[in-house]
Amino acid sequence: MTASSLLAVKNLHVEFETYGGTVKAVRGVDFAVQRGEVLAIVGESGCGKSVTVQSLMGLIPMPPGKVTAGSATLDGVDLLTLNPKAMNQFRGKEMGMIFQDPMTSLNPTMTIGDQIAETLKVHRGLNSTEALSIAKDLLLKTRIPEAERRLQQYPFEFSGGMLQRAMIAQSLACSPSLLIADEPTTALDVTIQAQILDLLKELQAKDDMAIVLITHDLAVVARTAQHVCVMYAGQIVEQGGVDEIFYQSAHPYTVGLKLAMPTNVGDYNKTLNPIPGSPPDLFAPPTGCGYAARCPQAMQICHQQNPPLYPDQTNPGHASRCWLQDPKAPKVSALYQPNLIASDRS
Amino acid sequence: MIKTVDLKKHFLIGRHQILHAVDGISLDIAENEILGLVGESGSGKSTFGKTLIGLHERTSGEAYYRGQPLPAKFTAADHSRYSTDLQMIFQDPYASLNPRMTVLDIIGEGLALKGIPRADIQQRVGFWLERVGLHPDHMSRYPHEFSGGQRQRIGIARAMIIEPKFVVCDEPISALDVSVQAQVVNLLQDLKQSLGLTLLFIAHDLSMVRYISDRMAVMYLGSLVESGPSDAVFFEPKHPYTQLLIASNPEADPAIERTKPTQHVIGEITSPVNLGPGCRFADRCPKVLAECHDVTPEAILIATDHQVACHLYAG
Repeated sequence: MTASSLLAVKNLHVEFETYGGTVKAVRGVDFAVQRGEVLAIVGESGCGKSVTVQSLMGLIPMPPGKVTAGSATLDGVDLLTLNPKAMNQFRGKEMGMIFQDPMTSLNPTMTIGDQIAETLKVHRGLNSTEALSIAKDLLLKTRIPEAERRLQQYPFEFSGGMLQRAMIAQSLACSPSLLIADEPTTALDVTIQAQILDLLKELQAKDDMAIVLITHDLAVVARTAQHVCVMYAGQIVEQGGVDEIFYQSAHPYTVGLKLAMPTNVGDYNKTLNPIPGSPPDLFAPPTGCGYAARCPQAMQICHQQNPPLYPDQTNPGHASRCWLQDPKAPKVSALYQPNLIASDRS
Repeated sequence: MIKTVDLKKHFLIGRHQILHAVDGISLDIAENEILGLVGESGSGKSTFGKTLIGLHERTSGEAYYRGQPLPAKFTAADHSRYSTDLQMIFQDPYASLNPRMTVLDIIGEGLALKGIPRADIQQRVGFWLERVGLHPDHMSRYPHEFSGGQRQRIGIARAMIIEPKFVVCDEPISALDVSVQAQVVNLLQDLKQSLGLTLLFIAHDLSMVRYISDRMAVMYLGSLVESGPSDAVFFEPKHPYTQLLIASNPEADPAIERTKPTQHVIGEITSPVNLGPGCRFADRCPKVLAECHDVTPEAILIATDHQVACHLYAG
């Protein structure tokens, strides 16, 4: 976490007050994003990955939501202390966001051109003609054919893939230094997913824009990201470079995710190993490790105390929140199942 | 076991327009096999599954179950006659269970319709809940008390309690988390082996379909472009569309993804309204020939049990 990080999130805690009690959705998350890199936050439903980025964007409804601790600085500005008006000016200009469902994220009563132009008018003070002409360039940049005609159309006239492109165009309107993409391809077909992911990578490389990609799909992570945070039960359980996460997984949950997925390389007909049980109840998070109840390697201490983040001895950028990484723990290599995804490469 | 010949399902969508959802599918599904059906949204794969078991009326073509022709339009009597053999598991575990019925009533409804006494139903529902990995005590609960994976297993128990011979699984894992998908897939494979089930497994996750299916069929705009043994279709795809589809499928391995050439399907699936003759993929195909636009390609057998509908392989 260097001083030059574009985004630095420290000790973020987010809670929701509900009738059933307080849900501790995010429980102490630290990560940093460098300029021009793609960081993937991967995890399953309810692990807190979306809440984490929504709190950065000021999109958590408060109440019931509440950021109870932590800081998040983008380019030196603390996002969590901005008042709503300052946030409105900041959001869209310095950071853009695209959502999972483009069908419900765009205004159905406005043309695509007007929606993109609106961003430009608000943040850059352009008049309608200028804004529309830039909107057209943005549509071309995101490879929407017949941009001129498409500007006049409404969202219902677009397909899912085209809408996602339009949403990317809108989020790029003010050339943000950070783009947050929350499951941008989950609702799309695999062919369109490939097109959108490659478009994002290309834009990121061309404009030196950083992307935080939220996804549940390890294959999407492998295709797109340079750095990865694996989240479970409101905490980051493992973080590091994409190769370290895939080939030198240091947390049993990361290993468990890989063993549960089919692969088309190596031993491709091996039986899938589901992770038994279900994630813990975040109304009353366990005192120990959140994954202990499902972990095949759980030790006594795992149920009693939450482990700290252990950086890799030789590579401090790769860290894992697991007691097995403690110097006093039994030798990890003896406990681990072989890394089946790329046993020949690790 | 299941055979369709030139099965078509067209929807009239007003203004004399016809939507060709399923447009001439001829397919065989053998006893005790899992046939994976893949294709993009709008390719007609769900409609095919539903038409097969009588949830939609067939427009034309034939369908056979164990040599017996199935009626084009199922009457109430047909439904009760065939429902003991043909069942369906739906995609959305939230929308497909009645929120006002208990799990006992949901799973036991099929048995109750056959007039089986309630005590027996309770006992069998308890057995099936355990079989799908839930607790028999859960039968008095309502669907909202369960997670997505648990609900999907309730949907599976509901279909299986009738002891069907053939089950259409319409995207049974799409709504589930990775760790839970494996639970459901392993359960389906286990049921296939222990009960001798035959499954039509509809999904868009290509890696999962390759893993679970014995054979795989690829649909594009209502037509079948390729079918064959799963590994052959996945690792040696022949149809240009299958090749592009498989190339778009990301692999959970960064080293492979980095070296993969970007080879994209250009554009998007076109509208299945008022289709004329010719190959459905012709407009987007990188290897298009002159005849592709005018002549509908026939299925060609290129290897044992491996069929491709493409002019590239003709003659």
